[in-house]
Amino acid sequence: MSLASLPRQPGAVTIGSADFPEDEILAYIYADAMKARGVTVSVHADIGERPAYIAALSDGSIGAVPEYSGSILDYLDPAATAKAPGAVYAELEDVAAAQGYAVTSDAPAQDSDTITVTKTTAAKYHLTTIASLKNVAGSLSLGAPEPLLTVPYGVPALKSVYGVVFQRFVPLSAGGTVTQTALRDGAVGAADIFSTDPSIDTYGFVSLADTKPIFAAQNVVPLFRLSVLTRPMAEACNAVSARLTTATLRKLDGEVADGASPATAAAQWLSSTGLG
Amino acid sequence: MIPGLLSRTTPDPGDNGLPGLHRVPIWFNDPLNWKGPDGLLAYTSEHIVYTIVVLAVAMVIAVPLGLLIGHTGRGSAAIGGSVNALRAVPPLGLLILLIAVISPHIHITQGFTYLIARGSVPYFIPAMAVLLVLAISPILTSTYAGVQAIDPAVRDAARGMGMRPVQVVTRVEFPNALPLIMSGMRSATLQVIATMTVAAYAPLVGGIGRLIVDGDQDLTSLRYGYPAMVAGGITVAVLALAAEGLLALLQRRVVSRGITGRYSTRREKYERHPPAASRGARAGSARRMRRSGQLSHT
Amino acid sequence: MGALWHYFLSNRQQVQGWAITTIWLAAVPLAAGLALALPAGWAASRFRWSYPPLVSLAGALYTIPSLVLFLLLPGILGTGILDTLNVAVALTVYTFALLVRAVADGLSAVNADTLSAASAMGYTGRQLLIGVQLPLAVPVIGSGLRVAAVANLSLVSVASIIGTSQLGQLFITGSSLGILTPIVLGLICFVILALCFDLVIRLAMRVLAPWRRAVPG
Repeated sequence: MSLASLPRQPGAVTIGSADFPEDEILAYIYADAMKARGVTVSVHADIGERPAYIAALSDGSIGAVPEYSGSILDYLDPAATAKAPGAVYAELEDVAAAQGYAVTSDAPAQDSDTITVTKTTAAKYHLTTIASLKNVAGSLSLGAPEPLLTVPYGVPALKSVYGVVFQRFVPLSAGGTVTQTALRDGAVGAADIFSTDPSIDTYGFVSLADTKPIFAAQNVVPLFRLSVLTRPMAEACNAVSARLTTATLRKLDGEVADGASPATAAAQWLSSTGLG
Repeated sequence: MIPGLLSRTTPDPGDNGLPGLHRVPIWFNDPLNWKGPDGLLAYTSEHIVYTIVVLAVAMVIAVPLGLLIGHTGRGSAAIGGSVNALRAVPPLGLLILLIAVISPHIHITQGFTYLIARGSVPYFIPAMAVLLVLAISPILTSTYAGVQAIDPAVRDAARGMGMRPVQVVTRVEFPNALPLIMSGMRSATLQVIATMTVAAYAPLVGGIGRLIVDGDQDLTSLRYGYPAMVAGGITVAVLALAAEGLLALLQRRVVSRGITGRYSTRREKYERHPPAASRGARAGSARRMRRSGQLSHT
Repeated sequence: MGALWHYFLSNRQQVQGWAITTIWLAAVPLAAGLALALPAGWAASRFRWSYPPLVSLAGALYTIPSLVLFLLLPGILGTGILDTLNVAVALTVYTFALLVRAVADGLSAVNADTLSAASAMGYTGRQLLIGVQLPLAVPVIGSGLRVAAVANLSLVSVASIIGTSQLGQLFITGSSLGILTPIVLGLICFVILALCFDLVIRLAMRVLAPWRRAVPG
C-alpha cells in the first residue's frame, strides 16, 4: 500500500484497544500523534479480547487498533506460516488487504511470548536459548496460558522443533504478579512471560532465545479499516512506529505498572520524541 | 507447516463454536484424562479432601458458637444480621479481594503432597477462607435455631434434674438440636462442594474447578477445553448428589430416634414410649423443628 | 471513596450496562421460577401422592451446582458460552427448585378451620385457592423468594468464571489489571442490589398480605 494512493485530507478515526494496559498505551500514542497532524481522533479503550475488538473493527464501530503482527496474522489467516519479522509483515499486508483492512509500517518493538527462567536457573543449567533446555526440561514445570498447551506454536512446537518436553504444565497467565511470584518462588521452573513485561527487568529474569524460531514475530503494527485510512494518519503512525522499540515499550509498561495512567504515559513519551 | 496444526481445529463446531456435548463421553473414556497430577481422579480427591477439611473446621467453629448463642440467647441479633449479610456477598468477588489484599503478604513457598501445589499457599488460604465463611453461615444459624426450637419445658426439666449448664448444653440441647444442626451441615456441604469450583479461580489451587477455569481459556480444545469443562461440571454434580445422599443417611443414623419418632418396629416404639398425652407434644415439636429448616444454596 | 466514584464515572457506560444485565438476570428467573413453581407446588399440596416425587426432584435440581448448568446449557441449547440466556435458564431452574417446596408447604399450612369457614361463606374451590390459600401462603412463599433473590444475585456473579458480561466482570477487571477499586465497587454493587431486591419483595409481601402487620409478633 503506497502512501500516494491514500486520501490527502486528515479525516477522522476512532482508535480502539484491547483490555490490557500495553495496548491502551499504544492506542493513546498513535492517537496523539495523529491528532498532531490534524486528524480528528477519539479513543475507545479496553474493548476486550481479540474476537471482540476485531468484530468492532469489522463492523465499523472503531476504525483502527494497535496490533501485534504475528498474532493478528494468525487470527486473520490461521494457515499463515511466516515467522521472521519481515516475512510476517509482508504476509500480513496481503492478508489484511484481502479482508478490507490496511496496515501501516510496523515498529521494531515486539511483544511476544517467551520462555523465561530466573537468573539462578539459567546459571545452574547454563541456559541461553530454548534449545539448551532440552536435557533439563524433564525436571522443570512450565507455567503458561492454557492455550499454549494446544496451540501449534506452543508446547507441540517445543517438542517437535526443540525436543523440549517439560515435566508438568501449570496454567498461568503470561505475565502478571501471580506468574512472576510463581517463577521467583520456584513454583514453576520456567514461565511464558510477554517480552515487554516490566518484571523481566525488575527481577532479572532471563528470556531464552528462540533461535529456530517457534514464536512468530510480534511487531507492533496499527491495523486500520481501509476505508478510513488517510495519508496524514499513515504518516503519523509511521513516524511513531519508526521510534518505537521494545525497550521503550518495557519502560512505558513499567510506568503504568507503577500507577501512571496509560494516557499520561503515552503523552509524556510522545512529547519527548517531538512527535506529539 | 508445524505438525499438529489440525489438533486445534474443532471438527464439529456447532453454531456456537464449541465442541458438541457428544465429545464429553469421549473425554470420560480417555484414561489419560483420569490419571496423572492433572487428571480427573487427582482433582476429585483434592476436591473431596478440601471439602472435608473446610466442613470440619466450620463445624468446630460454628456448632459451639451456635450452642452458646442459643443457650444464652444473647448475640442472636448480631449473628443473624451479619450472617444474612454475608449471603449477599458474591464469593468470586470476596475471593479476588482477599487474593489482592492478603496473598502478597504470605511468603510460604512449599507445598504439601499433591494436595497443595508448590507456591499455591498464598492463594490457597484466601480460597479456603471464603469457603469457610460460606460453610459457617448455615451451620451457625441452624444450630442456633435448633437450640431455640427446643421446648422450654425440656430445658426446665433438665435443670430441675440438677444438670449444670454445660451438661444441659451437651446432654440435652445438642442432641435435641441435632436434626437442625445436621440439616445445616448438609446445606453447608452442598455450598462448599459447589463453590469450590469457583475457588479454582485462585491460581494454582486444585479441585475439579481447575478443569472449568483452565478450560475456559482454550474452549475449542477437545482435551482441555469445553468437553473437559462439562466433564468437570458433571463430576461436581455427581459428587454433590452423592454427598447429599450420604449425609441424609448419616442424619437418619445419628439423630436420636426419640426425637424424630422413628422406630424400627412398632413394638420397640411402644416399649420405649407407651402411648400417652406426651406423644402429641413431641410430634408437634418435631414438626416445628423440621419446618424451620435452612434454605441456602450456591 | 472518591476513587470508587471516579472509577464509576470513567467507566459509567460499561458499569451501567453490566448493572442492567445483572438485574434482569436475577429478576426474570425469579418471576419465571415462581410462575413455574406455583402450579407445581399447588399440585404437590393438592395431590399428596405427588408431594414426595416433586419435592425430591426439586431437591435434586437444587443440589446440582449452578455453574454446571451454565456449562451444560450451551451444549444443550446451542447458545454461545457467553450468552446470558444460559444464566437466565439455569437460574429459573434453581428458583423453581427452591420455591416448589415453599409453595407446597405454604399452601398446605393454611389452617383447616380457616378453609372450612371460607367454604361455609360460599368460596368455591378456585376462589378458595386464590382468595384464601394463596394470600395466607404469601409469608412462606415470600420468604422463599427472598432467599432465592439473594442466591440468584450471588450466582450471577459466579458466571464471570466463564466470562458472562455482568457486574461480576468488575472483579475480573480488578484481578487482571491488579487494582482494588473495581473489586470493591463490584462488592458494594452486589450488596446494594441484594438489599434492593429484598426490600421490593418485602414490600410486595406487605401489599399482598397486609394483615400480618396488624398483628404484632
